[in-house]
Amino acid sequence: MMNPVEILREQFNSHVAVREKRPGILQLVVPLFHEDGDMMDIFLDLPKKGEIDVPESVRISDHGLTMMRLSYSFDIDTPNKARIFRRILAENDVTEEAGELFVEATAETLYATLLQFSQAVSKICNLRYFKRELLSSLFEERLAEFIQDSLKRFHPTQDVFPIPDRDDLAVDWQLSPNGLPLYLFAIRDVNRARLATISCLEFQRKDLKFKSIAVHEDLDKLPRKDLNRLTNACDKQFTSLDEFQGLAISYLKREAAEI
Amino acid sequence: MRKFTNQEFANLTAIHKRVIEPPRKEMRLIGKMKRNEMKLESVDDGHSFHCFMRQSEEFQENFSIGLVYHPGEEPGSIQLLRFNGQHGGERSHPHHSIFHIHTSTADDINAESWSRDISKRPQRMVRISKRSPIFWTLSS
Repeated sequence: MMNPVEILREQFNSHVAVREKRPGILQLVVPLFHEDGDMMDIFLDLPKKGEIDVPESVRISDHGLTMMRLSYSFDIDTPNKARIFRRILAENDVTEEAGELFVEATAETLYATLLQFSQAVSKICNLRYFKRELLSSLFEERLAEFIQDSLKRFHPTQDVFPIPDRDDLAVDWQLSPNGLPLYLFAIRDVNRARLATISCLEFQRKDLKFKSIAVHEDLDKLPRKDLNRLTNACDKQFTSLDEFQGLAISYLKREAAEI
Repeated sequence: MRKFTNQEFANLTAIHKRVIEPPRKEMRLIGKMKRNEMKLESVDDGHSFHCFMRQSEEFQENFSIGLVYHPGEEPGSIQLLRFNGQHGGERSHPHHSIFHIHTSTADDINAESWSRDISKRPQRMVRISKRSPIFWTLSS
C-alpha cells in the first residue's frame, strides 16, 4: 500500500507539497504555473482509505477551475471551438464532466499522468491561440469544401482577379448563378474585411458588372467601423459559415431566377 | 499596431465608469463555476469595458473579478485587473494561499502580437492584497 503523496514526492524529486483543500481533496503545490504566475489548480482526490493499492487508481482533477480560468477571456460557444476542445481532451486522455477535467492514475503512472494533465490544462487555458491558428484554416477549408460539394451548379472558381493588372485585389471565390459574376469574400478577420471593402469599392469605381457577398467566420469579431464599411461596400453578407451553408443555395437560386 | 503605456492602463483603470449592462441578479451556475458579467463605459469619453465575476461552486475561496478593456479600433481586449481569492500559490508565493491582484503591464501587452481577437490577460505583475473589496474603488 502506498500513499499517493509519498509516491509523487519521490517521483517529483521532492519538488511537490500538498495542502488539504477539503477532506479527501489535496491541492498539489508543484512548480507548474500559468503564464500569469498563478500555480495550476491540480488536486488529488484520495481514495477513502487514503492509500492506493495496486492496481487501484487515484483521480487527478482540476475541480472545474480550468474552465473557470478559460472563461475569463474565452467561451466555448461554437461547434468549432467545442471540436477543438474535445480534440485536446482526447489527445491528452483527459475526461470532462460538468466542467471538471480529470484523469485516473495508478501508483506507477502518477508522475507521468500528472505532467500530461498539466499539459492539457495549459493547452485548454490557451485555447484561444488554437482557435486563432486552427480555426482560421478550418473556416476556409470548410468553406471551400462546401462550395465545391454543394455549389457546383453555380460554377465556382477560386482565386479570381477581376482587374487584370491588380493582383492585390483578389476574390476568394467567383460564382455564376445568372451570368453576372458573384464575388465571394471569406472574412476571417479584420484584415480580410478591409481588403474585401477596398476590392468592392475599386471594382465599383472601375464600373465592373458584378455582385458581392461576404461570408464571415464570426461577424461579432469585427470592429464596428470595419463592419460598417464592409456593409456599405458589399451587396450581401452571411454572418457565419453555418448561416451560409444553410442559406446559400436558396439565395443563389433566387439570384439565378432574377434573369 | 497600437502600443500602450502603463499610464494609459492606470488611467483606464481609474477613470469613472457607468454600468450600461448590469449583472444578473444571481450568479449563473455553469458546470462547476458561478459566473456573472456586466458592461461598463467610461463617463467622459466612451471607453468600453466589461467586468467578469467567477467563483468556484465547490471552493468559495476560488474567485476572480476582472476588469477588461475593449480598445475598439482593433479587435480584442485587455484584462487590466484581476482580483483573485485565496486559490493557491503563485510564482512569487508558491506555498501560500493569499488574496492577490493581477495587473497588466504595457510591456507585456505590447510584446504580444496584436492581431484579430487576442484577449490579453494580466501577466506577471502580481501584488498581494489582504482583502479584495478595493476592486470597486480602484476601478471606479
